[in-house]
Amino acid sequence: MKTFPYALLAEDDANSVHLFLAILARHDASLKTVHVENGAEALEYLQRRGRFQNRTPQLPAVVFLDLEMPHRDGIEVLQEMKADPALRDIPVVIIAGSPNESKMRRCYELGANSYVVKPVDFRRFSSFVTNLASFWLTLNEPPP
Amino acid sequence: MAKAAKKKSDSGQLREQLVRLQREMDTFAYTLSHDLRAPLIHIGGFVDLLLQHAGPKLDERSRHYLQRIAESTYHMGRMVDDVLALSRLSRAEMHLMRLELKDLIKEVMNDVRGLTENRNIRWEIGELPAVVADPTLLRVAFDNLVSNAIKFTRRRPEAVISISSERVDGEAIIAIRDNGIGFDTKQQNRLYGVFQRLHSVADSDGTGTGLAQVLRILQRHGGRTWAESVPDQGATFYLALPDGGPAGA
Repeated sequence: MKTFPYALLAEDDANSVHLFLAILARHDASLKTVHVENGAEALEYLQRRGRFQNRTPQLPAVVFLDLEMPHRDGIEVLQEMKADPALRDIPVVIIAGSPNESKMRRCYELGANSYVVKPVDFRRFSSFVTNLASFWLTLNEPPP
Repeated sequence: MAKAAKKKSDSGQLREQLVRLQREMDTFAYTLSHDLRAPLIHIGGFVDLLLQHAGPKLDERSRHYLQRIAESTYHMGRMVDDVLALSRLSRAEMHLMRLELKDLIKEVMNDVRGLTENRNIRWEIGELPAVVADPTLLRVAFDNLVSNAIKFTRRRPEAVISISSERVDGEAIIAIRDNGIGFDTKQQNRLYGVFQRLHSVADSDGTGTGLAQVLRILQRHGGRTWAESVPDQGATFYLALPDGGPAGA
């Protein structure tokens, strides 16, 4: 059976999540996203623990990580993913709220595959979301 | 304690205090502009969704109001990003090196290419010295000054923009002169302020933080910047960089 790639979005801000999912739904409903509310949940999901122990065995094709989250922030999740042999190969895209050189450097050092900054203008934000999702879910070949 | 020595230590303390206050202000501006970005994205986003969702059912006036909200949000976003850029210039680590100004100007000319299309501009680039500066920061300063010169000569059939330099008393002084609309010298004290525009939107399309950036960059280099103008004949912006770079750097 063919499985469809999906993204895991870890983001605590309900408004951001709503916009992200609404933009994707409008653009291309086949770009599937699973949403978790913070870093701790992201790790539970990825490691199939807690309320996610019965999730689909298929891992996400990409993880979109917000940097600032309660209960373990984006950097902590990134660190733990890259230290875990089962999760290390999943591409991680860091979504930053504003440009910040030292955080960017830190994320790449820890093995982030991409680092992007949300544009403040909504028209650009809209294409930012659709470009991100279509690149990682349709163009990029995820690790087997 | 001798009077002169006390005076010196007082002014040293005052200086330290000012540097600390400046750093606190920069941190405040950085945090505020960072934190305002998310709610601004949300306002813009939900207005857009509302327009998509209810637009066809709304009357023209309501749609117009929503568009006004979207435009104002866009404008505020640019202002917030400009404050963010300004505070990042203040906080950025300095990487000083000796650089040839003429090479930097070549990069700047490339940066501003988008502004010179369909324009008749005569460039007069004189001899330029080597200076000790942070290349990224100095490039931002020249990008601002050169794009201003291009923008404010927009109505001239032939714009003349010159960049020249001289060495005076341990400083390299660089002058960027244009034959544009100039500015009112009575408003000179507003020139380097944040969100200060001395011209209408038709003549200058930024939010008005370009010269504030230039001032901040020169301050960080231990240098100076000032301007002269004859209204409707042109303006000259000066940058003075100390020989050998900022003292004590």
